Amino acid sequence: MARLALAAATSHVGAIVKNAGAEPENSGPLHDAWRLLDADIAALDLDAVVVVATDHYETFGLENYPTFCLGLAGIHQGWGEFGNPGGTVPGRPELALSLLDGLHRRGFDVARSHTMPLDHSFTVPLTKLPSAAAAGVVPLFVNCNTPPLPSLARCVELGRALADTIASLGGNQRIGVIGTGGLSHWVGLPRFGDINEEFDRNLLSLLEKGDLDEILTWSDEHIQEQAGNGALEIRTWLIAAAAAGGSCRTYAYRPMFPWTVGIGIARFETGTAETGTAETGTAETATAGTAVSGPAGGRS
Amino acid sequence: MSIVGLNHLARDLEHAAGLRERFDGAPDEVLAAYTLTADECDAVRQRDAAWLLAAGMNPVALRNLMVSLGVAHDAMYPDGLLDEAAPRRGGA
Repeated sequence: MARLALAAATSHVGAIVKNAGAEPENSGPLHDAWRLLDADIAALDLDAVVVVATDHYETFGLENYPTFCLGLAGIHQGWGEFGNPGGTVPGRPELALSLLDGLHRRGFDVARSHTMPLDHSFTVPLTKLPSAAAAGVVPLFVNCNTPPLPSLARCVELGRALADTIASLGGNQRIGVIGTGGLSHWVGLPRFGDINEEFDRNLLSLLEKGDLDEILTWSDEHIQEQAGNGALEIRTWLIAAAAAGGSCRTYAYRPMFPWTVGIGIARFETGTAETGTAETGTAETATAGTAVSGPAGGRS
Repeated sequence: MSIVGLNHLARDLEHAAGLRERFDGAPDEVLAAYTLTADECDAVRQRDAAWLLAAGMNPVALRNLMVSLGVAHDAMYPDGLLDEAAPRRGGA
């Protein structure tokens, strides 16, 4: 029987790799946290990772914009948009098809894409977590920026259905789920560059307590006012949290003004493995990440 | 607002080889290929993010459009947001 062996979440802004060494006293502990999470993933020898992320009008346009979409490609190409990591990452189409079937059986009519190139919401975390990329990836897109968005409650239900589906699979697969996005940031708006540390720390505190009910009382208007349109991406965190079904440990949080985003990295308790040590390490200047693997995506 | 046309333009300027250069040389010729109003075309030519935002363009797509047109993310709103009376442009 397959099992959810790891659930985690991280921010995904491109500056994480494009301006990696900014404010070393803050970026250093963040890079340490990604290294710790990557070591966790490597130690678990995962068979695949479901990366729950969004898109910024690179893969999906208004001619056809899904609410949820699974990627079923054998190889997923990164866009490499605006200097973000490109390259390729191996898919897990058989697992993706099983998840598609299982989610449909559980009331989630998730769309599918047999190509599904990936933007930085996938490629940045996979660059920082190479063990996840090496395990093979099933991308799960969530609409986080084109209203109407799926409700926070619907995302929690999806996370639970995803965990239930994984538990129902045959074989001995060890599967991870990693949500990417947020925390507070404003995209394409005059408040670009602002961060609401209080909002971010409150969110993390609630997740550490496993208190999804409080988060579910938040409206999108509240989230946007308090933490920006980029914080609507906390849907991906909720999916990972609900899949795990437990509390989280925050590996690191910093309001990274040079990156224009409140950066969080957390691992959720799944009841199957020990987690690492939160808020690790001393500050050090990290080097910029590279493409997920192979050459940068074919972009001009 | 021509949401679909503006989103297509943003994606094409980012993805279509040579389109940005064609736009720089002959913006009207490029814009004619998209279903946009005269005001929208004018706002794109002027890189007027405040007007496009007030008119209803999604801020993520707008960011892509502006960056593709050479406007840095942190330089999109040099004059802040428009007044409540906006959007108005050229009487169209």
